Amino acid sequence: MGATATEQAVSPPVTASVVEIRNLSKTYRLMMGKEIHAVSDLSLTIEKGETFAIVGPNGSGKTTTMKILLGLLFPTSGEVSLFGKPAGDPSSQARVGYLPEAPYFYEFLNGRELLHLYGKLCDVPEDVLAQRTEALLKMVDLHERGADLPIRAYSRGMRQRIGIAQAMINEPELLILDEPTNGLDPIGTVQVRQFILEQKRQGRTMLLCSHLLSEVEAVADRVAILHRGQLIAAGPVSELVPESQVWQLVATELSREAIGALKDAGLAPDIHGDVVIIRAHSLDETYAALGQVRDQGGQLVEITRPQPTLEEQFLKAVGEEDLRRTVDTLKKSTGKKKK
Amino acid sequence: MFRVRPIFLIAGTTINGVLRGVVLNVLLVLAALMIIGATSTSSLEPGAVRTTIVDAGLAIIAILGAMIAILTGFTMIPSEVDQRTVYPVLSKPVQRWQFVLGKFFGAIGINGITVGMLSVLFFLVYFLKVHSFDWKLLFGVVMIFAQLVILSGLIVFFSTFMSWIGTIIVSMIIWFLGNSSQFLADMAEHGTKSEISSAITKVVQKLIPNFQAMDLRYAIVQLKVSTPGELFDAALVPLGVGVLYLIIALALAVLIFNYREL
Ligand SMILES: Nc1ncnc2c1ncn2[C@@H]1O[C@H](COP(=O)(O)OP(=O)(O)OP(=O)(O)O)[C@@H](O)[C@H]1O
Ligand SMILES: [Mg+2]
Repeated sequence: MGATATEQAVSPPVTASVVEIRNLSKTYRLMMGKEIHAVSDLSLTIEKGETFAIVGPNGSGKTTTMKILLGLLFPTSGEVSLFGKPAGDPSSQARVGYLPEAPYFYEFLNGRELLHLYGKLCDVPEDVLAQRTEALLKMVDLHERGADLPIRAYSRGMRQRIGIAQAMINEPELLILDEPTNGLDPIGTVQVRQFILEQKRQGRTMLLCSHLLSEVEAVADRVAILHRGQLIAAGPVSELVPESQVWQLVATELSREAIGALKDAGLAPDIHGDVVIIRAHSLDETYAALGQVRDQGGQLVEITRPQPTLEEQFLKAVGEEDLRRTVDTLKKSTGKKKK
Repeated sequence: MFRVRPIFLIAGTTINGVLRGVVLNVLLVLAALMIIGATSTSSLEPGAVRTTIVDAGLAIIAILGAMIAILTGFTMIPSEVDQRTVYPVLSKPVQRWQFVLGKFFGAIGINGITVGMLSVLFFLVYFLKVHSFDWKLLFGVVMIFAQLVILSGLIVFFSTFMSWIGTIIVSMIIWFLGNSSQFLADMAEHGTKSEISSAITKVVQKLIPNFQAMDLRYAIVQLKVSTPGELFDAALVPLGVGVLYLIIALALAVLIFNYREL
């Protein structure tokens, strides 16, 4: 059994997409006939090796979509598949790692016992499991304090860390991470970002979600923006966020000749009296500008990355959506009145 | 992919959690004290000593065993769903039927621990007081265990769709009525004048597993049966019916849990 699972992992079936979501809708039915349309007609595919991010505000349907992918919830309509198999199929589940939103684990187990349990559930061989457990505990910084501590005594951030470790216990081909930096301190947030980039380098396919746009911008190849369960924009980060590569350098004490040299290098400096602002549109340009400032004897004051451009994009998209809806409803209601 | 390993991993984790918790340990200590207390007070004639010990001992194991089965069983599935500890488990290559059966086998394990530990104490007390051992006692505790296993199957079933409080209440009622089966039968025969209530009582009596028939205290104490065969015959039909109940309850539990949104 374990052998077939490994064989499948080595030679995956020829289907191109790792995740396929076709016209997915999910309606929660509450008591007294109240309905919540959590996801509406969502279609997405995630290709092998891709890092895909779903971004949207609270209640936009991110968690719902992920839970449907894992077979924890069932679609109201539409279809989802992982590795070409329907959600919940154990053979595809064996190739997935999932970090639930604000995860909870067996409180009476300690970190090491927990990882052992999940590893065994994934049929990880005993000797491999022992090594991997220690490596993962180290990776999430729990090897000193967390390994022998019952989960009951874990802080919110420690739970999140053990959650990331358990998602990796079967070295999955696909990682599904529901708000991976939720509850982490700034160092933890950076560590998670590095973790994601490392997994990306290793060719792991990833689906993550966040309402913090700045967080996925740096790691995701493609982003889908979800609002009230509807896909309002999707595409490569560079398309959605054309400005994302911009670095801004502020320098002083640059001579006229120096500014001329900057212009010659195609860097188009903005001159505000003594202060020169250079906007570089790629990393190469950034380094070039830095070099120029140094070589010309200038004084570098600051270098920043004018950030929340995706945020702006997002607000714009959501704003337009809201506007359109309002206009639509207005049209409808006035139309009715006329009749 | 048919794997039994997840079932036993889940069962083991369940037992582990209960052993590290408070409920089982407190109730086990309570039961042990009750067995010792009930059997050491008797300053009766030699014959009565044996009767009292057997009667009280088996009753305490049966009642406290049922309490433990109910109080550790009712949360097994609901708490995992409410606290979302099922998510990481079911997102591994674990199917829902494996999870449900894992919980059931965990419950069997706990029943085994309860009956096992209390029986050892009970046999010890019996041996110290009566200076002999009676094989029928062994049969008695095995039947208590069987009764608890069936009860646990029903608890697993109810807890797949009921709230925890509903599960506790329903399983307590079933255990109580199942142990009053004879009384219900008598009620249906002679107790009421109305046809309808008589019929209802009869249906209830037939529908609920006859735990009373699996209780061999009377048979053992009164020495009405003396051979293993006779004891076995007395227990066979209720046992068979109980197993049938168990299979139906577990099949329904798996079916319901399969379609539950988590
Ligand atoms: N179990 C449930 N029953 C009823 N409604 C639900 C349930 N879970 C989620 N919803 C509703 O579905 C919608 C989408 O919720 P979901 O949890 O998928 O959002 P989300 O994008 O993950 O939000 P967040 O950023 O807060 O995690 C919300 O309107 C929410 O109220
Ligand atoms: Mg969410």
